[in-house]
Amino acid sequence: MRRILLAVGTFLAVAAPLAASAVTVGPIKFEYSVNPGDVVSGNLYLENEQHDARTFYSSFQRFNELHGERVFTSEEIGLPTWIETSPSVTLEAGKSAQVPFTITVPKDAPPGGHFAVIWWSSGPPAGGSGQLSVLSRAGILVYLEVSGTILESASVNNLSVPQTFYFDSVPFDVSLSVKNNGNSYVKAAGNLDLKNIFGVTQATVQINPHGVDTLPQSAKSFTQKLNPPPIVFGPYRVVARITYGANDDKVAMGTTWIWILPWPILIGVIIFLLIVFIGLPKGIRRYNRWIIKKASSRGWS
Amino acid sequence: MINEQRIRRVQLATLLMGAFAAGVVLLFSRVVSGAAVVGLTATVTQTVSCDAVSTSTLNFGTLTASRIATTSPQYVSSTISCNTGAGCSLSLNDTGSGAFPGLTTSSPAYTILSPSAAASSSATTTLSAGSEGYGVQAATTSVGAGGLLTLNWRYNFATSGSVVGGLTTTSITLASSASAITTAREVLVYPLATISATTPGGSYTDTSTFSCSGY
Repeated sequence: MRRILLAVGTFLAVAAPLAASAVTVGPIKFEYSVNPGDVVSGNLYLENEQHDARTFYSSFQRFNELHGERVFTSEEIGLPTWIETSPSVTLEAGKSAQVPFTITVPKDAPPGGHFAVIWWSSGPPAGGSGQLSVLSRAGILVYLEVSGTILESASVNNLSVPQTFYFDSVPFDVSLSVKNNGNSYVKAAGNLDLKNIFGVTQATVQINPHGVDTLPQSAKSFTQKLNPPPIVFGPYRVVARITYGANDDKVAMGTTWIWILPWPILIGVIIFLLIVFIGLPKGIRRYNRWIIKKASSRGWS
Repeated sequence: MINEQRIRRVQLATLLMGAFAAGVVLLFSRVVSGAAVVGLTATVTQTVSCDAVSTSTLNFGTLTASRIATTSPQYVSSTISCNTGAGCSLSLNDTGSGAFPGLTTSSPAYTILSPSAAASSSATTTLSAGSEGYGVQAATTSVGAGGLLTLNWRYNFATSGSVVGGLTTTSITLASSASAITTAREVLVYPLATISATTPGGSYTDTSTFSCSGY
């Protein structure tokens, strides 16, 4: 029997025609190293890009990463509860504001990394099921490291290139992941080097040039393009070397091998080898036969 | 002798004039170098911006068990921009019943689960008329400049088909870029829903939130 369902409401439902609700915030993240009991203050940037006055509402959530996916959760514990800022800010069209905030770190805050996001949305926070609202929100990430027993440990994993043999000296992608095995966030920084068999660096590119953080017990992937010099031939080692830690004194590395055999040089090498190992011995043998034959014809045998 | 004196006077005058000229040059250069050299610094705040737009209320209208319903208008447009070299991400989360994502009615209390009751733990489902389900498809457009948006595979299905990605009550990435987006890029989100012959009648609603952040 066909079932008729009356007036399914709305996806992103509101009682009035919707308008754009753009919200702009900055910076994209704050990073702090604090002691238990510290109070941190700062200002964040909020802008109303619309053509009329708007009120923006703040809210806080924790975030973490699971299988490379950032996950925001609304648990009322930890860093989100330490942050205070204005619950709402009204801005005229096109105006911006520096909004102060404070982070009060409890005296018993556990050591290690704590992560939260400060959301600014174009509508008030949802008050419960059934409430209709349209929300777009922009977030500022907060990375906070509380002093104490900090375990700094990271590794370079899955260093890979698309292929092992390259028959031209062309830029190629190198992918790697940085695994954070510690209890605070890691900002891995370092270089990808292309080294010849003598260990001389032929090309280099920076890993994580934008300073992306890796959360504890999670991994972050990076892909950079290495650009070999025009004249290369033979086996080369791709070396990923990162430094991390509060003093940048910890190192993690990964290596892999590739062969770069540009066609013109490869053909030249093959021809050279053919000459050396086939053509030359044959030529010598023919010469010897000719010498012997000549000697025989002159009665020297 | 007179000529020698005259020559000596000329030489002395030339010497003095040269010294005077050198002194003027030196003094002038010191004045110039002593002029204020103003250093200028400027910082550009890294920002992220997003927006969710619909020209009017999105409405499924009356759902029946004989069709896959789309909304009118058919999609919501969400845009994102950022000036960070690492790019930014646009996430989507669903209010649903609070505990579960989906279209919800309070009287009677019922939720058309996303993506479906049969595939509640799956990322996607294929909707079919007569079987409950609810999800979204997404597509990027050519609007904007800078870093390109990559859709989450979960929602990257042709809008001509019936495969949809399931919504979640926790934020899930809808699309992301690996470099700065200088002019806002756009994602169109198309909601679809189906009911069965036994789906309770009522007024169903839902709310989804588009969130943007950097890295």
